[in-house]
Amino acid sequence: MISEKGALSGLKVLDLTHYVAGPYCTKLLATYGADVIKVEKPGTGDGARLIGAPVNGQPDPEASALFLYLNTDKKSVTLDLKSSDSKEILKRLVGWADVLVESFRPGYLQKLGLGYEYLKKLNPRLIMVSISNFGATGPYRDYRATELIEYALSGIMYMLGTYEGSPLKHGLLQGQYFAGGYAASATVAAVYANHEDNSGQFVDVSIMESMMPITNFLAALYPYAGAVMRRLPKSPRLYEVLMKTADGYLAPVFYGYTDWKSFSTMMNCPELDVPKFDNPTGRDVNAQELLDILNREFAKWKTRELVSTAQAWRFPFGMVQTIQDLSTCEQLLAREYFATLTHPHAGKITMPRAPFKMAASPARIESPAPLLGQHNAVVYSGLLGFSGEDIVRLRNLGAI
Amino acid sequence: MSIKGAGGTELKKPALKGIRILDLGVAVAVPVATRNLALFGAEVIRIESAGRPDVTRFGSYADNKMSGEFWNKSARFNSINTNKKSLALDLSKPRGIEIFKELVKKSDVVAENWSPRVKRNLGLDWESLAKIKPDIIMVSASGYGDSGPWADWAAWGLAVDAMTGLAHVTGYRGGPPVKMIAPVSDWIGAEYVTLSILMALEYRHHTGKGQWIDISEMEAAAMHLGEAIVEHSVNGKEPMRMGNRHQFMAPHGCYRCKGNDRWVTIAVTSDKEWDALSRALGSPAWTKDEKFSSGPSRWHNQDELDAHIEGWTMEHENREVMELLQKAGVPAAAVLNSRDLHLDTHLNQRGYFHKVRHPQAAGNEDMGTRIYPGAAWKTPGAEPQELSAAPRLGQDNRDILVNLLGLSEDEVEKLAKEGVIGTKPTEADRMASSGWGVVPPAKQIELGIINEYDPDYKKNLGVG
Repeated sequence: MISEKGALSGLKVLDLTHYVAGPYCTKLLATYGADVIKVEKPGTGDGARLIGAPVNGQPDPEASALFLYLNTDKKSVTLDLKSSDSKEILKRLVGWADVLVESFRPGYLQKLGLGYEYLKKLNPRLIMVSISNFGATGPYRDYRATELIEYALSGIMYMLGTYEGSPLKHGLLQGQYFAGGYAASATVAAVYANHEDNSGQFVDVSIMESMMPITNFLAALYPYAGAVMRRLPKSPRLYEVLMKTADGYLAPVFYGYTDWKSFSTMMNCPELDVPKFDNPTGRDVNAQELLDILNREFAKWKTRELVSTAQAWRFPFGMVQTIQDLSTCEQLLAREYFATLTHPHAGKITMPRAPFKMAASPARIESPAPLLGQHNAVVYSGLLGFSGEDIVRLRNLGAI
Repeated sequence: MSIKGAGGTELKKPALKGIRILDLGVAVAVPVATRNLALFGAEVIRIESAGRPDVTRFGSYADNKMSGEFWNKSARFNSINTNKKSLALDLSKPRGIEIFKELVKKSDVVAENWSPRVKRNLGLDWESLAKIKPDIIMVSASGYGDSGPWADWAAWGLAVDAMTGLAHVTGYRGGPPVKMIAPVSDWIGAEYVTLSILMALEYRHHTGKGQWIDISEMEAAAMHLGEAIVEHSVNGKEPMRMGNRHQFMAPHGCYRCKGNDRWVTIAVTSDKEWDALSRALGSPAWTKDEKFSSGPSRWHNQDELDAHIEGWTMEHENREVMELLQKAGVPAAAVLNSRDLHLDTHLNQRGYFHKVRHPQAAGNEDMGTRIYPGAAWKTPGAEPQELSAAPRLGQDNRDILVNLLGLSEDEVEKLAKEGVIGTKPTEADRMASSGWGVVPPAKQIELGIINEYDPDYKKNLGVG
């Protein structure tokens, strides 16, 4: 029997986040069942509505790919936190919530009189999760940042790129996602901890620190052996390169004492079946010669064919999949990885469903990202009990 | 006794105090996750065997020396296994499986990242474990997931980074895809193993039910490409490799500075920041050029703009550039390397790194005090989580078998004799004689594997 309830079913989340890291955190919570109310600025809303590429080709804050992806299964209300008339609404929202997640610059909410100490007086069991570029303390706290800046300070960038090339960042917004994932874990841990005494707590998540684990193995060589690791070596070894095939790129991976004879047979290439290549040291020492042969041989193959063949021989090869490849990937499709939703402005959109499958408490992806203020009525009158007159008055004051 | 924090408020207990996790992990995805959970207060028993110790125990040795119990001296293993116990138990022997099942009865979570068929071959799938511990939570993390046509494909992070689409979007402008020397998907997988276990514990708290979780690293990592997947689904657009550039911001790049492989990044997000940058540079004539007068024109003339900026940064230290520009309100950052990170004022003021004294093992060189990273989150209102050194292989065999499972000392001795438990890799002597994985620092610099080597690193770090 399938339970219909998500793991976080019943958890109430007040979402004061914007752009990427914060919204991704609350999206993960919503995907596993939490009830998320997203508070947006009247008029413009979450900045991600403006920076994401509009999928329908014309400027449209309701059709930003980035926003549409990051805000599924949330409700949107508009509220001007700077307006004194909004205080009453915010108080009731905070009273409703188990968790408040925010991603303003450190100190901003305190300045509005909405710091944790104050909010905790309104709701003593409140968990408040603050996500910021460099954390709530420390000398970089007020530094300005973008994804590129985070990449530099997290140490990832120094270790990504070719020997001759400059340090490099990954494509898209990986750092923000790493942080959203860790913020979600810290949130659920705090929720779990509340079962003990229901006294809430403040959680400080730094995007920079959330990115740093990725570099852990490489960075650890400094306190272990004084080594400052860098990018790809002068002559990359076999497992460090992506190689061209007839129609794409292959990730050949060999670990330790691999069955090199089988590999030579599989490639049907006697030139490979020689002692200087049949052990890891030999392959490292003669890397360039080996890469020259493999470049020539791999070019004869189509990527998918080569990877399936290699896998049948138990070699853990992979291939560089494009977004188009992902959308037709037989493995992803067989596992129903993608969900298709219909959005009033963007039409039919497809996106990943969830990062993991829970057998008893399945993930959901039911509602597309909300239109700006779509749930004002449902939340303000339905949930919080404001009258129709109150709402008209608050709207006229610009509070909502 | 309760611990009081600032202002006399009582600090919370760590979230997972009292939770016991059996870690059957290999390499990164599960061990990093259970380390996270140990930082939340869980008790983690790391299970390996003398026949198959974790791969990360080999190479990356302390002080680059493969001596003594070298398998207990690896930076890779020790950095991601802090705050754990070690049981070296051979699961290929029936008695090993029996003991494991006894442990399951006393545990909350089992986490593994074998190839999917392994758990079934060993009879350790969730259904089997739930027969002996109905509310057990089990996580299986694999490269491509437990079902589907690729379920049995062999997977290592280096290949998964490519499969997941991350390599496709990563690389210099106009160049081929590039991969990082350490795979990223394993670490992304670890984040979601962490999250999934926390969610399952929360679900169990409310329902009393355990469950099985199936994580595909490829799927977890592709979550981080979501906006590109949404866009592609509507208009078929394929993202391009852009190096360090941005779709509409300029300047937005990584610039060489004074010194050996030193760099700074600068990202200008508005006209206001552009003006601030110009002023900080002393308003040289080129900043007044019509070509750079608006966002779009700066973006279109980026090559020239970058050359001007790099001409200036090359005259300065990267930290100097960062501090000057940040003070002027311009997003800028020094590109930190592993030494910079460990000596960084911000991270150290936030208490990110921890000094950990390794207990000295009889007959072994002293590992001394080493530095390890802490958690990726802070909970100032909770009891501070002290870091303890990663366990030596089989360090807690006796403690776990006698004190947790109630076996007799005689029985433990018998298990050791039969090789069901152990403390030394069966291949240790052969490995020691091969010396594999030890390359002198000068050679590493020559090959471009490392950039620099500090013989005085312990002094720099204040640990010796």
